[in-house]
Amino acid sequence: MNSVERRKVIDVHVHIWLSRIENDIKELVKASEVYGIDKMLISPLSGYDPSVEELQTLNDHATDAVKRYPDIFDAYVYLNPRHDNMVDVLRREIEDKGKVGVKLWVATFCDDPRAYPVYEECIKYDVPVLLHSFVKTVGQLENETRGNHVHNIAQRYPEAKIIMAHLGANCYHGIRAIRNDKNVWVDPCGSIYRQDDLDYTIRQIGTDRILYGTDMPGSYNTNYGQVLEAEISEDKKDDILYNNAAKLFTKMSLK
Amino acid sequence: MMNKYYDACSFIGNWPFRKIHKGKITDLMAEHKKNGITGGLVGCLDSVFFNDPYEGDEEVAKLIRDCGYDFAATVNPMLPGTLEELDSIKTVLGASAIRLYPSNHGYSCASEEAIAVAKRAGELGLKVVVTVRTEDIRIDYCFKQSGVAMADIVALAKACPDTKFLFSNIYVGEAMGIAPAINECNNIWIDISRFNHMLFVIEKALEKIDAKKIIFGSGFPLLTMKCMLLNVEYAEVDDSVKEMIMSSNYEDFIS
Repeated sequence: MNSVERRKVIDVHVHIWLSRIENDIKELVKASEVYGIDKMLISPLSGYDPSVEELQTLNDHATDAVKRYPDIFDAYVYLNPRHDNMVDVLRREIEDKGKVGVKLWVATFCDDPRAYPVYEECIKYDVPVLLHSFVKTVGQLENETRGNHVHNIAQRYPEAKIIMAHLGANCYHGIRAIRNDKNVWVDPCGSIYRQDDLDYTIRQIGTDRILYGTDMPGSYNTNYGQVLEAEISEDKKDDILYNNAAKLFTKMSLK
Repeated sequence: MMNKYYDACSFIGNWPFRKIHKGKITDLMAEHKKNGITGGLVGCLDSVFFNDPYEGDEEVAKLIRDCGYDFAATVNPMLPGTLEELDSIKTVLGASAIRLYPSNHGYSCASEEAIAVAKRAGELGLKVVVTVRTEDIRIDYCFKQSGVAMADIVALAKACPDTKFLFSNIYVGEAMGIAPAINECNNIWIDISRFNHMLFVIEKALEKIDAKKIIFGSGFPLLTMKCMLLNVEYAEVDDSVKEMIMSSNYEDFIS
């Protein structure tokens, strides 16, 4: 069999799940060794609408993981726009706990007015906001962000650095929604790995706004294979796998 | 001597729901060559949506075979005359297998028609590939797949003990769920074209599924060839197991 190509990699979309924190960390550390990943940006997740206490527990777990493995992990602060203390949590986690970005999932749509302070604070701190974005024909969650929501918030906050995850799930929907929004980056992470998804994205927005993400502890190779197989130069592959994220995340620590 | 590596799940042709940029036989051959694949089972995407799939297969069967591949004919057991047509599929088209698309054609694998076709295929030496899905149902566009029950495909294989089956495009979780049947029935194999939901997926699959039953499949050009290939290349298993997945298991299935 052909030997695997080793490249510098920053994975901007990795999770640790509350129900299996230690197991996830163990698998991620192993993945960093097996696949040669230079840095993983982790966000802790649990239920769709976590309580104030649960959210703090999650963010503490992420802080702890970074402390234990500073060469492997940096972390997002995970926020719930329904919480009154959201901005306090954001400031504390970035200023005191070294978080390098913000993660929003499905507690509200990303363009819900309750989330506006997130973008305003992230502009001040110069940190990106990672947005779950997933259009579905079955099983769409009540407040699950789709490409059009990402477009709305990108238009409202043109100085914000926004990452639309999963290429919006169906890239033919998600990428079309944000293709003219120069402050939106995307990652291909997750379980959709149609042959043309990444090449379609490149045709629509180029490579400068594409980051590498995997959704681990889901698969790693799914998305790595997409980049290796993309119809672009080797330099452009390196931009997607490493360089674009290194530029975007100004607070991330790199060896 | 050069090793022979096989892809049990690849296609040529067009797909109604998006542009396929690498759908020609020359594209498939180039991608296989680049990745060290020397042969395998190839079907025709166009035929899946033809009222009479035989017409689509007629156009490409010889081309596929002349390029050194085994040909998988598209069969819908619900179409009148299908049972009788299997002889022509074998002798005129030169097919090595028939590929069923129950989720696209909307029937149960436990139906009388499906069982009759599978039994007759076995009598003719045609292998039966059951396509569990052609797309992730969350991103179905214009057309919704009906879904395939795992119990039904196991029942089909058990009802036709003299026919060899490949469960294709099955998720790893689904395969693990029917692992006892896969392991016990000497006429069932699975391909890994959709083993995309967990880290170290080959190692975990092998904890439950007999290594002799797992065959490499890419799903190309609907899916990205490199993804599942990397899963095998990176797997921390003995090289002899990788050889089985990439080579000898396919030879056992197709012989």
